[in-house]
Amino acid sequence: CGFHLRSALTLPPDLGPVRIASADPYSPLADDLAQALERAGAQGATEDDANAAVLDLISERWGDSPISVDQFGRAQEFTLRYAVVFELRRVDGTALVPRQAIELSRDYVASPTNAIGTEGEREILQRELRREMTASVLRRIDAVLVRGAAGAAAGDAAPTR
Amino acid sequence: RSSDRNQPMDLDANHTDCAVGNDRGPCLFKGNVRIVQGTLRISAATADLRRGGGDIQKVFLTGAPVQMEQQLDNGEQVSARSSRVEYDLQSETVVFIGNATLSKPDGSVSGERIVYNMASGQIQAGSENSRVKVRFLPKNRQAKAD
Amino acid sequence: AEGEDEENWGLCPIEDVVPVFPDAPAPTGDAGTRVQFPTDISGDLLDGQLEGEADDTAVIRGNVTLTRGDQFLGTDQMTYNPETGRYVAEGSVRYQDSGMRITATRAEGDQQADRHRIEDVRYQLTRRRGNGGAERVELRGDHGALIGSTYSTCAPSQRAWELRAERIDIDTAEGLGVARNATLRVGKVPVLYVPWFMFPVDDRRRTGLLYPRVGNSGRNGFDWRQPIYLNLAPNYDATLEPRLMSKRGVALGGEFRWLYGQGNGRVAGTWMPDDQLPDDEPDRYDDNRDGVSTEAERPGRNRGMFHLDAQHRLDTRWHAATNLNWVSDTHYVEDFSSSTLTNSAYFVSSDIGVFGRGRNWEASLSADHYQLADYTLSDANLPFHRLPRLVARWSQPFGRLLEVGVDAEAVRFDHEVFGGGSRLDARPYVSATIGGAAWYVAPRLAWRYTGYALENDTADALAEARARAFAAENGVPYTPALDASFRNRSPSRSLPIGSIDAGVYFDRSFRFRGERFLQTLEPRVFYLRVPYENQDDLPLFDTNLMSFSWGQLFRDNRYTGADRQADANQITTALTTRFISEDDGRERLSASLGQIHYLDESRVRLYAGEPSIERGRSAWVAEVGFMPDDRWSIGAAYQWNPKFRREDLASLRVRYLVGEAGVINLGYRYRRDPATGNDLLEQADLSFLYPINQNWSVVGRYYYSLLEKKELETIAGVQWESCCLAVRVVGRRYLRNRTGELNNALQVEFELKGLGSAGQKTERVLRRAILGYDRDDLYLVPPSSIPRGPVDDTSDPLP
Repeated sequence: CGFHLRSALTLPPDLGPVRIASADPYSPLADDLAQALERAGAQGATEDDANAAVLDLISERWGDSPISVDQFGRAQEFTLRYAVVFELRRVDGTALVPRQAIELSRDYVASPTNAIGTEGEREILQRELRREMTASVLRRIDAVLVRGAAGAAAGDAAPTR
Repeated sequence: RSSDRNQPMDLDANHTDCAVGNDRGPCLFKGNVRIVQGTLRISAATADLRRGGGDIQKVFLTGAPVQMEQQLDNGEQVSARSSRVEYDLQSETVVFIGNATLSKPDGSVSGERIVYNMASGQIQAGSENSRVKVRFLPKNRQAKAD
Repeated sequence: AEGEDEENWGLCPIEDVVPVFPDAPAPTGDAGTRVQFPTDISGDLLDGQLEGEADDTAVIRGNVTLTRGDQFLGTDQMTYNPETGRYVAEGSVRYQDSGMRITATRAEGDQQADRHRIEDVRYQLTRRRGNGGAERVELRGDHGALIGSTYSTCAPSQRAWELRAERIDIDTAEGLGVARNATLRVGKVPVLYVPWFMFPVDDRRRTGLLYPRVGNSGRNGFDWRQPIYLNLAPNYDATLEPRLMSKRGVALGGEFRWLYGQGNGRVAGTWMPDDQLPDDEPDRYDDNRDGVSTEAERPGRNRGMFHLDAQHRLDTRWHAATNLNWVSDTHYVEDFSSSTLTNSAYFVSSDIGVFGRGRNWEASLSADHYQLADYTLSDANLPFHRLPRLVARWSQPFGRLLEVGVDAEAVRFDHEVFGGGSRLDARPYVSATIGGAAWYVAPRLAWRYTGYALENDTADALAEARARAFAAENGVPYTPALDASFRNRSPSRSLPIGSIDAGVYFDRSFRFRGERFLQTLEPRVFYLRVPYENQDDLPLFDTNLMSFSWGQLFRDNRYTGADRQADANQITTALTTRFISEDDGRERLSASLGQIHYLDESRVRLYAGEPSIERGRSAWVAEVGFMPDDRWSIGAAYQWNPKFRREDLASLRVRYLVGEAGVINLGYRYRRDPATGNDLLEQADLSFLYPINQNWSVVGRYYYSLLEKKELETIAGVQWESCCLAVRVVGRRYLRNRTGELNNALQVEFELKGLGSAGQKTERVLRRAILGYDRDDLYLVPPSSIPRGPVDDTSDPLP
């Protein structure tokens, strides 16, 4: 039915080294993405490397808001939301992956009368959301690059890869 | 200076055409005309003197442009230029006509027609269909007047 | 305090109170630099003195114009004294500078001192919307005083509101205006008299902080708050907010913000020395009111709250951060929340710590503390304080395959009711990631050691509980000797955790309606093996059952904290498929389905008597996310429990963006309580902001609990917005307090665009109630308009 094993993430040869720019110097996402890209064969680039493609983590925001209250108006369910806006620009500044937002969220119960463990669950969810965000960003880059590679290989006539 | 009036007026030019004895005859000077009277200095292309009663009453000058310089009683230097100048010695007024500009260290006046009464220091400028422009330099930049 | 959103003047007719002067040159420079420019005057006739003694003035007549730097002055006639710089302009005076445009009958002033007096004025601010008239305007450099003046941002033809003031001082350098003895007219009706009133005249950082908030409620009476902005320095500023509540007294709020090379911070507080509410309405605080057992005693008369959050960068790896909060009593949040806010927080947390990150390590030393802020709960419901907590994570890859690391945490727990103790939890592990782009197999073997040093009363309580349970279970009498046998001040647990995570990726490209998509198929298997060890002798400091979810399928423990490590012999099978557009990489649809097969019973439990997990299958977990375009966003999650043949979770969220600012949210949530098996909640939530046309928009929310057959919140509102005035009428029925009583509130709010809103700020309420009322809340960050600012964690403890 047309499915085939995924082929390696083929970074376009002209992409060159990739530098990760992030608004928050302490963001683990930047480190995770750097390591993942290196595993996928991209060369890392230092912060001030001018002629490098830029994976720009324009903004990262966490939000933890109640989504349901009990009959006394006390929050009993929360949703932890993690949104990242990023774009991947080539060396000449043109967008390889256009600026877009990824929003992931996980719901968790936080019973008012039994608050023990809520903070612990939130920390675990935070770590899982970070791992999933790294995977989501890579998937989107992969999907765009796959078309690029397919397009280049077959002149974009038919997806014969 | 107001004392310029009583100073002798020297005129020279490349060549003159002036009926000496007869006050009513034309008296023309042509070719880098220069007039000096005390601190007053005028240079022009042509000068046409009108005399009466043994004295020079009016001078009509043209030039590209006519230049005039004079020192005021308070020591300030005034310079002016225009395409035509009418200098009436009796009333001590000089009329600059044709994109005239009169400037002093602290500013300048320009327009189609400027009337300057050297005795009273009074200036009138402007006419119906043309604008007069005055520029006052800010205090700190007046030393190096352009 | 929140800054006002940028006003949109889109609805305003292009109509200038003071039309642009055609003959005026574009202003160059500003008020500060204008003295250095020459003054150029032009006119039809000039009559002046050349000598320029002190009293000599030049008179210029006929369509006179004067320009100097950013200033332009047009008049019929002007007398000007070059020596002193004094001038008088009469007849159709027109004045313009970088800040405003003015028409007047007469103006005089002194160019040297840059002081001007203009009479019978009509003015229009140019850097910001704002226009009006004045009997007299006195300008000095960038200060301007409008005497007997009016100010409004409305177009002359639709004068919806106007502020009339005896005197308005405008300081364009500071961007501030102060009005004195001002009366505010809406339409023709004088609505408000304010003796003193400060408002910004440009959109520098202070927008929105200075508007008085005026309200009226049964609890507070007439409620008037006037923020005063103190611009102390470029990198720190403060706001004071005196508040007068006619029924309760005076309170002072304040906030101080600072910014410096290594970080920033904010400290805010409110202090009310003598609150009359506890005396006026004692019944609010009685213990057993309406059957809700509250242990709160009546709050003292001095009430307040304190908040501090700050970040400080120590070096490229380490930074310190703190977030401290304190409230004076457990009724504070309810008594001081604006009556329109549903506040759902029940404790107030404070934390402070040092955090470090490197390429392969992460470490932090922090402490946190919780304070009760809800009088229907008690200290027993609070989590344990962690004073201090050390967390260290280190991992070292060996070649491309192997990775060795350790996760360690050492914490000293403390609790007012349940005592405390210290715990060390260390998990060295070795893991491998074998595979390529299309598949992976990741075995992982960890050893978990957890040891405690309990305080006496905690150990005693634990021993007693276990001894009683043992006595009950085996029908033996409960005796002190039995109790002593269970007593153990330093219990520990040590066991291996083995897991294998494996997955395969299948892709296929296809075209759908002309757009190229990549569909992925991702089967995944996760095997977990943990031996059983009885852990009833371990306390419960920070451990609880996690909400069963998609993430739970791949975790190595059913519990959050280290106090319980579930034994397991289980295998998870899961499948995910995604449809990703190949043009821009956006994921249009993703669907996942998974389940855990418990090969053996899992016997670890939180406390004696909790049912253990039997052999068999867990609930099915299904999640679907569907984002066909930028406007639609649908999210659904469903859990079906095959053993009891019933749903454990069913949630659906649909969001549709209407036009530029409209949004419709529809939500349904059902959740079963995992511990008891009965229904925990079943709620439906419809909320919308629907723009009918440019001026009218309708707002609404219907949040209903199907389980308790009761509305939790209902909002119905309409907003009429014109060029300079927005009127919002919003009715709300909401949970007023912890007794579950509903309260009706009707708010009428006039927002004088550019001047501020008189009346309770409804926007905050609507943003919380209707997700997406403010687009920023939707994606948390609107992709298009993102300033590269610091990350801000929007989970503030106090609503």
